[in-house]
Amino acid sequence: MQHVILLSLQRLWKLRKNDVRVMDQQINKVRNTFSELFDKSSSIVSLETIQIEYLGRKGQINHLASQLVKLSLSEKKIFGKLVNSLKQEISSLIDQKKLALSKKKHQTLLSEIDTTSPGTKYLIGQLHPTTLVIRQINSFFRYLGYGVYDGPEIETDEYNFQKLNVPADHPARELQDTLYIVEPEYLLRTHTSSVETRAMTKEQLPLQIVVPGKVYRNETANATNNSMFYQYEGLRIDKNISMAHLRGTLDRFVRFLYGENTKTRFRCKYYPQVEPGAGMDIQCNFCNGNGCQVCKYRGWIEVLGAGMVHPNVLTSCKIDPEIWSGFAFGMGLDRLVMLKYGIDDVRKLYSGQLIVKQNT
Amino acid sequence: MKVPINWLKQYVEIAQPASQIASILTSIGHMQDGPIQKVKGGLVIDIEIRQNRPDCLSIVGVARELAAATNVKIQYPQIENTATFSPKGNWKIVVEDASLCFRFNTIKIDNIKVGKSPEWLKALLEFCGMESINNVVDITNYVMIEFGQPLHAFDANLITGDIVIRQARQNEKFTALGEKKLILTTDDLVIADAEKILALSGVIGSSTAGVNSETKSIILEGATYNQASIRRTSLRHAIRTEASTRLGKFLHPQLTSVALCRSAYLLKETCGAKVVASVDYYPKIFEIASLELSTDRILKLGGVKIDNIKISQILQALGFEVRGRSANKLTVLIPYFRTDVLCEEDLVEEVLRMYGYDKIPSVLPNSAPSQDIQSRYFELEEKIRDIMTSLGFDEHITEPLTTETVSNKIPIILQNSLTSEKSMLRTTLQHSLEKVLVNYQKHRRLITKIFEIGKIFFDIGGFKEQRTLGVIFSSSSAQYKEIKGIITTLISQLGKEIHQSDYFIVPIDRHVWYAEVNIDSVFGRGNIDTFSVFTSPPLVVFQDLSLVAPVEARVGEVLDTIRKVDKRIFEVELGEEPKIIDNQNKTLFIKFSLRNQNDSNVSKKDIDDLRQQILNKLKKNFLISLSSKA
Repeated sequence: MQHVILLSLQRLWKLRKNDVRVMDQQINKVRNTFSELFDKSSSIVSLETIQIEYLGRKGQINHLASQLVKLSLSEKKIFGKLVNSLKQEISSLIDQKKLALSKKKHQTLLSEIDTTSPGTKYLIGQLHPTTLVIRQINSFFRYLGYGVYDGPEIETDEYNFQKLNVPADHPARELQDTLYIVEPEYLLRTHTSSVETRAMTKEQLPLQIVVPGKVYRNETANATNNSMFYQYEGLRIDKNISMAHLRGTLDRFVRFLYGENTKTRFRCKYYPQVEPGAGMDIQCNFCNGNGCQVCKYRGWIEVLGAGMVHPNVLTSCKIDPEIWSGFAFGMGLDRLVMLKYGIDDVRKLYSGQLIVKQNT
Repeated sequence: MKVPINWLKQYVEIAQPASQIASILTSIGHMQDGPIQKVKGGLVIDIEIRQNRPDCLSIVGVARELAAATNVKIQYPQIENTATFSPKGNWKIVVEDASLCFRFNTIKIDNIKVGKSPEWLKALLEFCGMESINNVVDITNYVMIEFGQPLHAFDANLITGDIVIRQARQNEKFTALGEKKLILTTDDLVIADAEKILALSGVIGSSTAGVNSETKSIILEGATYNQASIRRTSLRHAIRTEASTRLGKFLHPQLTSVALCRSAYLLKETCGAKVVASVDYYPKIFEIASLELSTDRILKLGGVKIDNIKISQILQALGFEVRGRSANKLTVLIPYFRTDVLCEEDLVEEVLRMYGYDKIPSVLPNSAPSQDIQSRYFELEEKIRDIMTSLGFDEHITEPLTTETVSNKIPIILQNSLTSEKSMLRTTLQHSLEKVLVNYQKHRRLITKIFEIGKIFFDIGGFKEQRTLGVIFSSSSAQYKEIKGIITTLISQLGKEIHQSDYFIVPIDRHVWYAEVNIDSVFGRGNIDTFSVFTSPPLVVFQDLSLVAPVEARVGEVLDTIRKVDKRIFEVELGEEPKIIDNQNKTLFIKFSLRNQNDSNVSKKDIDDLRQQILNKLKKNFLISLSSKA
């Protein structure tokens, strides 16, 4: 009985020995055929073919790996390592040669070119500085849910003055030298607030708009004043809007425009269309608030006029001030644009004297 | 308004440095308007008084504000008691139009000794930049600065007959102080006697009945006029005085009494003068008003809770009288000098500005954003800007006020332009863009590509404004087809149908082109897709047509005709520029592509059929035939 068992073990051993030998031969064969093909190939395409043939899913290496199941655990370990190192060897040989080939190709292509010679110019047009600043501010208010609203530049006395709590003979009219088309009925809008009265009259509430646009005054042009200039105004009408919201909005806006560390001052200021009225200043960064020529020795620079929309304005636009309240704010844009782009004369902004620098 | 600190100190205790006073006044609504100046050893602050607060065009008014803000009591200056103003004088005041003059308050003062002013008076006037003239005139000026009420002194013996406040006669002549000769209109109000004009009401006096070295007795007047009338006169004659600045705003008539009493006191003190009689024209008394203030309103508008006691304290410090202090409703009596306080919100501002705007919290609204009403026109314009710059065009903005004359549209003319160069509104963007072009050429730019988006204006019975794009393209070889290509590329990139009536192109010079696009019109056009998405490449067949056409055949019309032959025709283009063959004919090389709607193959038969249809149509419409060479 014992003898029989021994015999069969011996037979089994012989068989196994045979498998091991076959495995060994196969590995060597794969290595040799690869070497032959690899040495012959001289293009990236042929290398990629070899790569698929040897390293692909149905490639030679995976075929070898599938043979391992026939071996014992300890043999699997030995041959597994051998197959794996062959795989690594092939993979790295192919990669190295591919890299060398592609480098050589680049060198050939570039060798005829003087790469220090400048590139071709593609001229993209530039936007006007005022447009750029308007876009920047629009993006801020768009984020807060405001929409850009527009309205006519030829206005009526009603929308430009009367609905804004500036009746005929109001002293505020003296400050705004109006350009008339047919006095007193038709005029060029003296502020973008006229667009706000249009929106309040026409649109549904609640309302959140900003209005960038041209405005006109009967002024003799000089370096700081022009008969046409730009204003930017905003309006928010809702239930329970208060000065705290106005201050919050302006604080955030001013920091967006002038930087996170900007110091602001919120104070009382009269405008006919708002009550209570407010102004926002930023601390002068030329003198750190100590007073200099730039800030007219105030230490602060006035940047925004604002306030809660006057009940007379709401009423004239058919809005009930008992239910709705809102804030409005406004600023001139040109000074900001000039500061940002180093332009010293407002007339240069709007007379085609800004010649755009061509990019190189 | 120049405010000497030393003068302020007469009415209010000041412990703070001048810079802090300026900053306190700024925070409560009177912004510092320039550097603090040193005049004769004293400091003078300069503040901007807004047009609603004529009461603060006075040192007492500013003192009142400062006292309330710094929580101290104001000491009013000494004045004569009104009781001494009887008996009624024997001169008459005639106001011809009661809607132009609300009060004309006069006193007669005898025992006047005209001479130099005392030093203290001269010094204070000098602080405010006013010249000393004589003691009588200086005192009227002093009281005007002190209380804000302009006054006028006449030599009583130089007035003949009644004092008449009337409208001037058309073209009536008047020589104002400083020998300024004026020609008046019926809209000007004057103070006159039986013979002559004594003063242009509220604006400027004359030397006709002025105080002079011989004057022994004066009539001193303080008046309240229709403010608008004063402002118009001041504007019409371009005369701005301390008096017109104040009387052009709403001063309460009661202020005239206070100012006269103060002057009487000062004249008595400085030269022993004595009030002997008075005449007061004041037919309709201005009553003291009262307002209801709900404390909830302060919280609702101000966003800050202030307790009732504090609210009352603030209002009382400003001179308001607070009554009926119920749970959340106050009845507030408005002091006569606060002519600006007209509604509850005005009271809210009073409380908030004294409480401190800096104590209002800073929070963003937490309500949901409203419906989006952003202008779609604005969005279209923004797209145009992006496309034009990507095509290499620089944006410019020019002034719509101009003088251009050549135009096929009726321009809108301004009534009151200051300069002839800006007397009308532009009817095209061409002229101002041409000026920009000149600047580019000065900078030796070989290629100029510029555009502007703005409104043009014209008269079509009503006033019309039209959103417009103007484009200039100039180079050594700029062609019509290039500028046309730019405009059509733009419109199709906007996703809009191209209509020739929406734009025009004109040559400025041989290689300088101007194009103008009516944005309003493009906005209204139907939308087209700017691109298509294919999951697989479309089955497209490309075809050429080599044709012979009569020279007068218009390429655009031929291409349009081909496009309309069949829906399967996809793109139709001119292959190359037509060449003239002989006097009558030119070549016409056209490329087009075919595609089935359902992306199936186009059969050989389909192609042949379509080609035949096209050829038939072209033959019929244009006498175009296939080239014999093809």
